[in-house]
Amino acid sequence: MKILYSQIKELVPQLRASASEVAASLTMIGFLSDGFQQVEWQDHRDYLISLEVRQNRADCLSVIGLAREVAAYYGLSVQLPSPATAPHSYAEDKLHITVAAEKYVQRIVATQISGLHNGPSPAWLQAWLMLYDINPVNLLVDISNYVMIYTGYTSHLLDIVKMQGGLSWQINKGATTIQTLDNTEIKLTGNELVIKDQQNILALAGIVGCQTVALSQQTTDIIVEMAIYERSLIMENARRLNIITEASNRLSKDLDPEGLAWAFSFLVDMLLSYGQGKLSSQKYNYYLHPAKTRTIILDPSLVSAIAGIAISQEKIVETLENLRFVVERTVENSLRVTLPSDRLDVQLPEDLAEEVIRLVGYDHISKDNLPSQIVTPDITPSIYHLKDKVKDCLVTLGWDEILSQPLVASNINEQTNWQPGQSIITQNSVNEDYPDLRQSMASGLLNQLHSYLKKNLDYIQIFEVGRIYTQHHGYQEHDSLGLLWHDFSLEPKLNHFKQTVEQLLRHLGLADINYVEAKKIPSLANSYASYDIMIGDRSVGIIYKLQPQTDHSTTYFAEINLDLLLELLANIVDKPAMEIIKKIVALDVNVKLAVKQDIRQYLQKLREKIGAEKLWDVGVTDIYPLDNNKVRYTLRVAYWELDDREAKALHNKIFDLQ
Amino acid sequence: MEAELKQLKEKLASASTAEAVALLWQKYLGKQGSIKLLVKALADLPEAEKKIRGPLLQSWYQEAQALFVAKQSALSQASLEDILQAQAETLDLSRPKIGHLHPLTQTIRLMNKIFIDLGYSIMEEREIETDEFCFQRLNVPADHPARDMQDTIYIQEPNVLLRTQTSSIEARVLANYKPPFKVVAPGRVYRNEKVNKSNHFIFHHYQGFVVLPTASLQDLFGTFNHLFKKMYGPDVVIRFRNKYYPEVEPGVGPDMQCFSCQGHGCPLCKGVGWIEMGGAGMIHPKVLSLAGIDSTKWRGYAFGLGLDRWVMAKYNITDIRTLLGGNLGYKYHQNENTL
Repeated sequence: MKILYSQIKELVPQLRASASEVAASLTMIGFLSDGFQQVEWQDHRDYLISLEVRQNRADCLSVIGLAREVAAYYGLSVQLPSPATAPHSYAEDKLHITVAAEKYVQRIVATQISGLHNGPSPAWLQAWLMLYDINPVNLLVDISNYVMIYTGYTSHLLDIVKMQGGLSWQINKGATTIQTLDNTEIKLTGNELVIKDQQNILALAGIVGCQTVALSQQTTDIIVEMAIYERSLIMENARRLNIITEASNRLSKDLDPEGLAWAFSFLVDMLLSYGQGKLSSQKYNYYLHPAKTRTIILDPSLVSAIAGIAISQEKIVETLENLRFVVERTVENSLRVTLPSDRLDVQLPEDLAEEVIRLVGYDHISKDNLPSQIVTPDITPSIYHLKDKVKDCLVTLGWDEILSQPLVASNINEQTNWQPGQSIITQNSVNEDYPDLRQSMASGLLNQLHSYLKKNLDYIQIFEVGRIYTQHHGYQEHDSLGLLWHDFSLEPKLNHFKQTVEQLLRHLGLADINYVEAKKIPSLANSYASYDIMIGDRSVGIIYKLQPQTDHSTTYFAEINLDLLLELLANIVDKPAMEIIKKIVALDVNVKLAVKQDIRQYLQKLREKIGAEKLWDVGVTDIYPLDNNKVRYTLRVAYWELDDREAKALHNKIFDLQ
Repeated sequence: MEAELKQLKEKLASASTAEAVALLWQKYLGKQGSIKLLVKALADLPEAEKKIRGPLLQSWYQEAQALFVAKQSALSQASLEDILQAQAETLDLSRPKIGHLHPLTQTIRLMNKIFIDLGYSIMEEREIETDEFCFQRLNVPADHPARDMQDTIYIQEPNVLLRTQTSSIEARVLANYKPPFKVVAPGRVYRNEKVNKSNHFIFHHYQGFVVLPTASLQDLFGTFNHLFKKMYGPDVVIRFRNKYYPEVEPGVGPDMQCFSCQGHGCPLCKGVGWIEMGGAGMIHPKVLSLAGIDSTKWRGYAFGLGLDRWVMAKYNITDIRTLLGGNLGYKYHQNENTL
């Protein structure tokens, strides 16, 4: 929203602050000045201030609204021009208007003006509109636009000659096409609030008018209407049809229906004055549920509590009154605050507190005091620490961290995924080339690899810790680690690469690492060099050699599900330090198991049978296949805190030896 | 005997093995050794001659013994040297590569450290969010004008989406934990925007929120000031202005005086002298109520900072796309020039 400094001064005659001071003040009270331009206006030097208007302040999408803010900040008052059109000036004839969509229409004010002389608007008006980036069209349209910027209320002017009967506000029931004032064809799908005559749709209410009743230089008789609608419907219609206009921008927000009458009079005054027409109908006023006066009880101590500094009751009252709130003291030492009808954003005592604090000024609140240190529970999830540990370990091992975007091309997941579940596809990404959420970290690391190869980097061992997304019993996401190593030779080095994986896993505290042939091999992997990474009997990741990326190098990739690691780590009883009094006694034994029997399960049962208080370690030292569909395993069992005799006795008992 | 001793010295000097020394011992000091026999012959001499020649012979004999001890010691030393030489190893003198954390990670860790020192927890949450936690619980119902502030990427419109803000983490924590708490939450967010040098559809936020029995704007400003001074040094100038966000009331816009022009206005700050650093404010009582927290007993503040531009400024990165792949590289042997 732009505003001319001279126009603020017209509305706030006592204002002494300079244009730059006004811009700075508005910035501090919630309207960020993002442009400040010296301009020529009516042969004088002037300033055009560009401001960001808060989303909840539709009242400030107008010159008057912003002037009110300036007046409130400086403790001054706004002097609005008085409407010249008295109520008795309207003619006797009634307008033929019906409102079939009562639920969506808050207020309509309309009248008919005849005998107008349309044509180019005066030079000052054209120049003024150009300052606001609005192209002049003709006198009547330009006045309508001027009033919109000045008051914040949009209007619609319809050429009566082009109309077929009376007006009706209704919900569009069927699919049809309209042509807007700027000659754009819009396909309506139904459920839009429209203004119709007996034959045609004349406007998308609150959004844009139609070419059917557009004003021309020859227009003499018009119906002028201003309205306020149920804003959520206007917002929904504008979004769905993708039409954002000055009107829809305003009418999608909370606008004050009470202020509509004054804005309408202001518009009619200008039309009559500059267009030299006359009122030819009654004033139509549809307003079934007039707005009620709203009050809020404010405990003055709330203002100081929120600000963190003392703000006196007198200052609170003064500030609220400057903002046009009416304040009464109650017997309970609270304040009964009556709101101006246009301050629809104020609903709670906290909103009033903000009004006071922003005008008192945030710069009055000290920023040099750290809050007192109240100890609160640490709720940091363990996964956060795990990820930090993983990154630190890999950096120590000489790996570089990269980050990549998780949205990938639609074929990438087919090539890289090694886990169960379907791809999650976004519905409306503007980046149509990347619709899917990644199912493997390989995608980003491979992109980085190719970029590094193009740039002749000679050292490529990179990792990424990030999210993986899968549709598997609902939308799932988990943290994952991907590692990619590019070796500039053709020598097989998968075992060398796995050492990094193992160093990491051991650093984290996981020892029972083993590998099995990969159950699901991604299509970009060498299927003869792909393995699932196991911790005990749980698959936590995958390690594989990629299909050749160049003809003189080899690329390896590994991925580990960090959420699974965290689960496993949670089950580890971490008691690594102990007192050793006696020597460790290691005894060997042969056991014969069926080929199908899982040695890991056997060892686990053995550990439980001996017990942690006596077993130091157990491992397989030899495997020998027998010819009776059995395998002979030679185990070395190490006992601790037992002497030779005790260890041997226990050993014999456990393995049923004599 | 003097001649014998001289001869022994010469032969010992040329002996290079333990075996050769043993043979010489046998020849000179063994039972039938020449020097040994001379010493034994002393017993047959008259007493007077014994007194004259005895001490001299004895001293030569001891000298001969000492020569052998010294020679054996030298040979033993030489043998260890051979072993050590045979087991010699050389160091690979190639310089080790150093690994690197991503600039975003480094910045997040720096900020985390500041807040951990202030007693904050660090939280993470899902990126695939629901409309309820991304918007509704943050006082942004479906028809709220603020919906236009964020273009959402949907997974399943209208309810399942990629979070547009890390405030959704705040909504989750408010719903799942009982106050008091102090939390920071770095995270990735998504907006449906075209990608170019300055904009990406993925960027990074640093969210913070506090819910305590008492909390005020002064506490928020003090926290922010502390953060900025830690990040940018004690001379940094910041200001707070009123700004609208639906999830807070009052809302705050923290700005940092432009470090390029010191507030005079330049292209970097678009001529205004200040750089917007994010958003903040007192948590809206409706947000607390929607999470089942009694807003008459608890008060909180929240803030959100965009991380990408901080990182770009710090590392002289001119294209936001660099942060998520492609052009980001690391220089090795950083200490080469200092060695």
